[in-house]
Amino acid sequence: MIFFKIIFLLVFYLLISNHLIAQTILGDISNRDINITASFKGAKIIIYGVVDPEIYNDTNIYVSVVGPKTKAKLWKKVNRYGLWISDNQYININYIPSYYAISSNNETHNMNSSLFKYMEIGWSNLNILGLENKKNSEQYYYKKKLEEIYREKQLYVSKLNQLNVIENTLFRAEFNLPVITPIGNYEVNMYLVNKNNNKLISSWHDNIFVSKEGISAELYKYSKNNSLLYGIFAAFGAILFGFLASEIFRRI
Amino acid sequence: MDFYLPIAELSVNILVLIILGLVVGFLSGMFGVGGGFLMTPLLMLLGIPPAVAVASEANHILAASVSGFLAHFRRKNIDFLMGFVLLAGGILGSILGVFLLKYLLSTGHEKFFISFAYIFILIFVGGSMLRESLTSISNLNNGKHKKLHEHIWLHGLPFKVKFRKSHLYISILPPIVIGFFVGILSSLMGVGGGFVLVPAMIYILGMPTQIVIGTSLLQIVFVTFIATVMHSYINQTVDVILSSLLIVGAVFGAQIGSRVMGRLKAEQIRFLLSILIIIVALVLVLELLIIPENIYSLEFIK
Repeated sequence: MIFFKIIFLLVFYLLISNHLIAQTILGDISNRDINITASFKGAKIIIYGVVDPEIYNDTNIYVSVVGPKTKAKLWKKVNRYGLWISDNQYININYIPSYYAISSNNETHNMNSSLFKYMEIGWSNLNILGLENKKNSEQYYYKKKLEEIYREKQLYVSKLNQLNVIENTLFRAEFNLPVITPIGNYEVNMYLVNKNNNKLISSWHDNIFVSKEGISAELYKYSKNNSLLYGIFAAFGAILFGFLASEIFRRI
Repeated sequence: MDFYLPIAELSVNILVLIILGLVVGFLSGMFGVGGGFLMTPLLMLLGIPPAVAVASEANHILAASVSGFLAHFRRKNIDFLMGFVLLAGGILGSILGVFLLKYLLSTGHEKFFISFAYIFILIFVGGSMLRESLTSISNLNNGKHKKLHEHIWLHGLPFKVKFRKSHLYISILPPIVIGFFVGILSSLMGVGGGFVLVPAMIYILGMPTQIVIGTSLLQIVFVTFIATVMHSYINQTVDVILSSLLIVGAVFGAQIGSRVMGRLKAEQIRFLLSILIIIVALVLVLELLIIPENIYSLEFIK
């Protein structure tokens, strides 16, 4: 499968190589529709790319996947009477990607330049709303804490310096989506950046859509749209279960 | 084998859930407690969001307690009059509890308050039960017999009613007040309240232990029925896949539990329940005593 994909990309590359001079970076995604079914155990996103070999040596490539934006509360545990608990100490995050993955081919990733900030490339450059009123040092601190939490939940994947480029032109980035993958639209971005002056040469964008499928999708929709009936069915279903079990046990 | 839970939005192992259901169902049939106070923390440990854990728990306990209730019903171990008096108080209490929770949410201290109330009640209930059951067991061994029930100030209250099944002639006020407090707890903590109700019926009302368990299950059936419907309707947090998997284990566990209970002496049941409650309380306290690895936690808002 992957072999065919590479062959396809090679042919694809030969056909468009003239245009590449203008475009310089192009990509493709293995699966644009990810379905969360009852047996969902996480998914793998494979992103193929091709870069103009003539300029490759002067460039850095960044591939990122940005999950649907969401709101969140960052709770802080406090020590009350010797016990560590969540009290009313939290920060409201009004805007944060629910998933973030990045891969790059370069060793020295100087991602502090204005380009990276502007394009929001890299975790530290993400625009997280809710922290903007804090001091710079505090912003940095909370971003670091968020990063730790995201990493633990596998909602942040960092593969900086792990992008292998074959023959100075073909590359492939792989990211895992965890079982708690949020549903919605995921942006896939590729950036080709000049190594020497940190200027953007070219970029490519596409989308992946993660949705629920089958029985889990139906149940989810039903619970949202007919919540009262859903509750009544759930309750009577439980009573029926209990009744049946009791009858079965009476007989054995 | 993993299964994706559509409302909790994550995959969990089916076997783990069935075994959890079986164990908690067994305890439920044996002690007449719903098991919510045990199961909710365990589900959260599996990574299920608290709101989904609490609501799906209600649905699961409903099935387990129907199963347990029917088993006790066949053994004629239920005082229906007492059950409905408790329930009347319980409904009033749970309505007040919803408003209380709303007030606590507005102050932002709800997590703090709930953790502390939980631990305090578990230790208090477990501790006093343990002491009493040990005294009873040692009295029994020494050949001393306790009176059927002792006369205390509660028996001087008006509106006396005969509870034939419980062999009691007492005022309906204490059971209403007990039901009321249990109702408040149910709303605040998302538990059926059995672990408070069972000791209260035994020690405050002086009901026979065997009757207490069936009667407590009657109350839990009603409370969890209302909780399932309300949580689905208002918060959309009942995950039927999760509760179904728990139910499979629980309904059978409850039947086995009620059979085992029939072979035990009342003092032994009370002793075992008190030990169970104290263990849960200690685990909760221990978890809060340890300095957390990460003092920050993230909650996504939909």
